[in-house]
Amino acid sequence: MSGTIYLLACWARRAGLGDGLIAQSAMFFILALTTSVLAIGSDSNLLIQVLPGLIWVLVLLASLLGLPDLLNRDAHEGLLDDIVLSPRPLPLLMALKGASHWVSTGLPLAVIAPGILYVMDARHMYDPVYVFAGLAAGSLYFSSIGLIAAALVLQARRSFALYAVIVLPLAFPGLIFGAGALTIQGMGIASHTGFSFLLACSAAFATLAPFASAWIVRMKVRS
Amino acid sequence: MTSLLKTNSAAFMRGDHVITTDLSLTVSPGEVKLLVGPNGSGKTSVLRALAGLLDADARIESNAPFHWISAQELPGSPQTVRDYLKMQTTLQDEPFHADYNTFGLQDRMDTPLNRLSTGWRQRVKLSCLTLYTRALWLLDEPSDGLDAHGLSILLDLLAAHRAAGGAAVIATHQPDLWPKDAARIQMGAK
Repeated sequence: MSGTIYLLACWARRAGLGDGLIAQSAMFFILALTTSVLAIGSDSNLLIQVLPGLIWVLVLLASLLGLPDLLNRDAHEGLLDDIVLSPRPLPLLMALKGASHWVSTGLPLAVIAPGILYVMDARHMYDPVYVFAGLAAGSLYFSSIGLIAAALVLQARRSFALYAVIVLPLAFPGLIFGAGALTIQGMGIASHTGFSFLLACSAAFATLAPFASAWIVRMKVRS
Repeated sequence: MTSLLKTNSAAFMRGDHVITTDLSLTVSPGEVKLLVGPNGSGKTSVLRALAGLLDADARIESNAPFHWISAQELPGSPQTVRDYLKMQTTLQDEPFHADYNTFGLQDRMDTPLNRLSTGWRQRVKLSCLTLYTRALWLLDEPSDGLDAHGLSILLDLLAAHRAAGGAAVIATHQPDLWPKDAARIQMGAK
């Protein structure tokens, strides 16, 4: 158990701090949000209405950032061989890889995003706890899809567009339910249906992705 | 004496693609086998197949736990040597001992990998051999980048490993570096 936690900490530190993924995602998120606000204009009512969709799209796009390094670099450096040969279950190690991506991209953004409500004076419409919980679950879902994409794209070169092609369509349900749940909450309707669907999607993909990616990785390494 | 590794088939195939023909290999305790041959003769493919990292159409009987040291270059990451070695041992579910002294690494344990030269990175990779015991070593070009001192450490480790009943299969393009009694398996060019 402690070994598992050590590996997670080790990989998360390498991705999040060593590669600067936390800083990259945060910077991307804030700059892209500012750019969008500048482009949309100064109508604060309009801005507040489109805010849920905007935040969710940017978190989704930010979750693509760390994918090229998630498994491809390990394959390059021979570490993926060691991972496949490890006596520890490969799906567990893949889950740790996915989790290391999540804690260095999605989770920091879920922490930052409620702050945006204060900056944009949207606090009276959207509940910060709701924003955090939705994005935390949603970005776990995005990272899980990303893990599968990283396994599929393994050994392909110059493949950044491929990540987008695989991840974005699969992320549509999470995007619709997540951003939708927040919009509905902003309208003052007490309905948790969208949020429940989001949690269901997130749980399903977070469970499935380690097994799927382990299967793909094992096949790719041996071919 | 039971063998640590045995292949019975005459050819290593990968789909329709023949990696090598006429290769039957039996590795017993204390033995060192050298896979020699020109570039592209399939040395790495055979080693990967022996490690179970390549689907080769060959019957391989091996129950011995092994070390696999690939020829791929180590990460140029800011991870320190200590963190890298600890990660490797944790990955193999073995205990890590902090008081560590092989390949002269004790002064460089807190150096980030990206500050090390090629030779030192190779030493870091090879030092995994001493972190935990495995009866069989599968080494792909282990002497690459090593200086004379590093090579002598490696040969000493190999001698101790053989004396303890271990064995090794080594892919190399410099067969003269290795012990004289090591059997050479010549692999042909394609």
